[in-house]
Amino acid sequence: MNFDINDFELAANFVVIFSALLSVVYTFGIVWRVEKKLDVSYKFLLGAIVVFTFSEILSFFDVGNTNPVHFWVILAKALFALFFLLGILTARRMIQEVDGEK
Amino acid sequence: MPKARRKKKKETRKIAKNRKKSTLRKITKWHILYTGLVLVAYLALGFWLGPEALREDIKGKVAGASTVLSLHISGPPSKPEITTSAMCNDEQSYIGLNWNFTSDTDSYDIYRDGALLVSGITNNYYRDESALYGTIYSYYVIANGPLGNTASDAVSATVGKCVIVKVVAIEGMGLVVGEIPKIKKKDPVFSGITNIPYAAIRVEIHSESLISDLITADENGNWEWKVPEELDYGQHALYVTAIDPNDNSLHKTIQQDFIITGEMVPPSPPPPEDVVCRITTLDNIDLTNFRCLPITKKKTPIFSGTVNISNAKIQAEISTPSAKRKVISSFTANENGYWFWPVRGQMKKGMKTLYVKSVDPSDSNRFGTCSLRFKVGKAYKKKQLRKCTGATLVQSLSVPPDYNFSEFLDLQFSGPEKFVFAGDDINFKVNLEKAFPAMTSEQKIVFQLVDSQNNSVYQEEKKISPEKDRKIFDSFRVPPYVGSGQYKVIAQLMEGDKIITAEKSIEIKEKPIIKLSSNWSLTYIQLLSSLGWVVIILLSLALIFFGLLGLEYHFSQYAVLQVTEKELKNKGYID
Repeated sequence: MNFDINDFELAANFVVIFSALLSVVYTFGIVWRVEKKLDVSYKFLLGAIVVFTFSEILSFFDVGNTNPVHFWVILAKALFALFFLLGILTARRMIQEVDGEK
Repeated sequence: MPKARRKKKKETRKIAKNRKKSTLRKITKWHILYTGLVLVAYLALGFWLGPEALREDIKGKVAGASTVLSLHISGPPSKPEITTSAMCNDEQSYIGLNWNFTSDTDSYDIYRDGALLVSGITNNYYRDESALYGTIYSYYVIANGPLGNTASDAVSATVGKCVIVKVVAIEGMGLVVGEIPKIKKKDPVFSGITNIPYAAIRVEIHSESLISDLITADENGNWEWKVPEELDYGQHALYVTAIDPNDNSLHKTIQQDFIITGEMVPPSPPPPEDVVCRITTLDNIDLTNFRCLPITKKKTPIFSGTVNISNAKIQAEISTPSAKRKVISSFTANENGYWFWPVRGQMKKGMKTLYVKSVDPSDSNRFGTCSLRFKVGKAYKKKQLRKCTGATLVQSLSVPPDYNFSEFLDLQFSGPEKFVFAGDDINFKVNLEKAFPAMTSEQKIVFQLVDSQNNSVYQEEKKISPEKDRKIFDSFRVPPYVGSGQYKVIAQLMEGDKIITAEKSIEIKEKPIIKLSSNWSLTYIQLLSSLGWVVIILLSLALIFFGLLGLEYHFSQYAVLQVTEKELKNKGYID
C-alpha cells in the first residue's frame, strides 16, 4: 500500500477542524464555569481558538496566488498568536498571585 | 442519599438558578435552541423524503445557473467513431487510424496517451509511424467545428509484427538510398539485417544464370552472404527474402540492384545528426503528401511539425530570399514531439523560407534542422491542389550548414508553473541579452496570452529601456473568465523589420472555490451540482457543534461557583 501525502493532508485537515471545534465547545464550558482572572484567561484562550479555527476554515478558500482571503488568513493567525499570549500571561499572573510571588 | 448531601445539591441548584444571566448567555441559549430545532426539522424532513429530495430542493433554488450552462454547449460536431489497425510498409510498421467524417467539423486533432499527436487534419485517416512495437497506445480524435468540439471514445492499439529486411552493405560499404552501388569485386559479400531473430534468409541473384542460397540470420537478425561464384561485369539484381521461422506466412522480399565495375565508388556519408525534424503542415496543406511549392494566402500562416524528441526546444525563423530575417520565434514541442506555430506578425507577399532547428532539451549540442520554401500569395485552386497531392516528399530540406540561426528571446516562468488558475498571476522573466546584445533605444515589448485556437485573450504592452531592462521580471493576471485548457504566453519584440517572439505553454484551470487538500477541491459548478450534500454535511456539523455547546452549557448550570479549600482538600486537589 502506497502512502499518499495528499490523502494524509485531507485527513489531517479534518482532524484539525474537528479538534478545533471541540476545543471551542469545551473552552466555552470552562468560561461558563469559572470567574475572575481564570475566566479572563480562558476568554483570551477561547478567542485564540476561535480565530485559529477561522484561519483554518478560511485557508480552504485561499486558492491561487491572488486570493484576497489570504490577507484574512494571515490576520487570523496573527490574532491567534496575540490572544494565546494574552491568555497565557493572564493565567501566569494569576498563579503568581496565588503563589504569593512579588 | 445522606441528608447533608441532598441539601448541598439543592443549594447548588439554587445558586445556579439565581445567578444573573448575561445578555450574551440569553442570546446564545435561544439561538442554540432555535437553530437546533430548525436543523432537526429540516434533517427529519430530509430523512423522511430521502437525501435526493433535499438536494433537488436546494438545486431548484439555483436552477438559473444550470440553464445558462446548457446554452453554451449547443451544436458541437457529432462524435467520431475511431478504428485502428496495425499496418506495415517497406520501412516500418505503423498504426493506421480511421474514423468517420462528422458533421459541422472543420478539422480533427489526434491525441495519443492524452497528449496531442497531430492537429488540423482534414482527412479521416492518419498513420502513426512513431509508434513502437510492443507498446500499447491509447488514441482519441477530437472533431473541431465552429460550434465546439467533440471527442471520440479512446481506443487502444499496438503495432503489429512486420517482417523488415534490408541490405546494409556490399563489401563493407554502406548503401545510399536511391543510388545503385558500384563494386569492383566479382564475388562480393552482402550483409544485411532483419527484425526477426534466426530468420531464414533466401538470397537469389538474377543475372545470366540464377544463383540462390538459403542462410539463417543470427540472434540479432544480422546476416551475411558471399556470392559463391564470380559474376560478370554489369548490373545485377539481388533478391533477399526473410521468412519468420515460427510463421512461414510472415515473409518479406526486397530487391537490391548493384553494378560490378573496375573500381569501387565510396558512397556519400550519412548525415551526422540523429535528431529528425519535419515540417508537416502549412495551414491546411499536408506537406508530407504534397509535391508542389506550398502557397498560402494568409499573411499569418500556421506551421506544424514533428521532431523525434519529447519536449524539444524549437527555434523557427522565416526569412526572405534577400536573407533579411523577418520573424524569429522560440517555443517547445509537446511530449510527442509535435509542435504548432502560428506566425506572429503580418508577412508580405512573396517567396519565403522557414528554417527550423529542433534542439534536445537535455543536450543543446544535439539538434536537427529542416527548412521549407513557401510563398505568400494567391493560393492554389482545388484542381491544382489535387495535382499536387502525391507521395513525393520534396519540402523537407535540410538547412545549409553555413546558415546561422539568430539568437532568440529567452522566456521562462519564474516558478515551476505547469498550470495557473483563472484569475491568478503568471510570473515570468524574459532575458534580452542574447537577442539584443546592443540595444540602444527604448523598445516596446508585448506580452500576450493566446488560447489553443490562437485567439488572444489578454495583451499588455511595456516599454523597456536599454540600460535597466536586460532581464525583465514581470507578471500579468489571467482574466477570471477564461476557460480551462492549454494556453501560450507570448513575449514579442519588434526591431525594424524583425519580429522576435518567444512562446511558452501553460495550462489554465478553473479556480476552485474550496480546496481541502492538494488533489481534493471543488469548483463553483461542482459545488452547485453537489450543493444538497454539502448543505447536509454542514448542517450535520453545525448540529453536532451546537448540540455539544448546548450540552456543555446545560452542565455548566450546575457549577458551584464558590470553591472552598476544604472541598478541594476532600477531592485531593490540594494538600
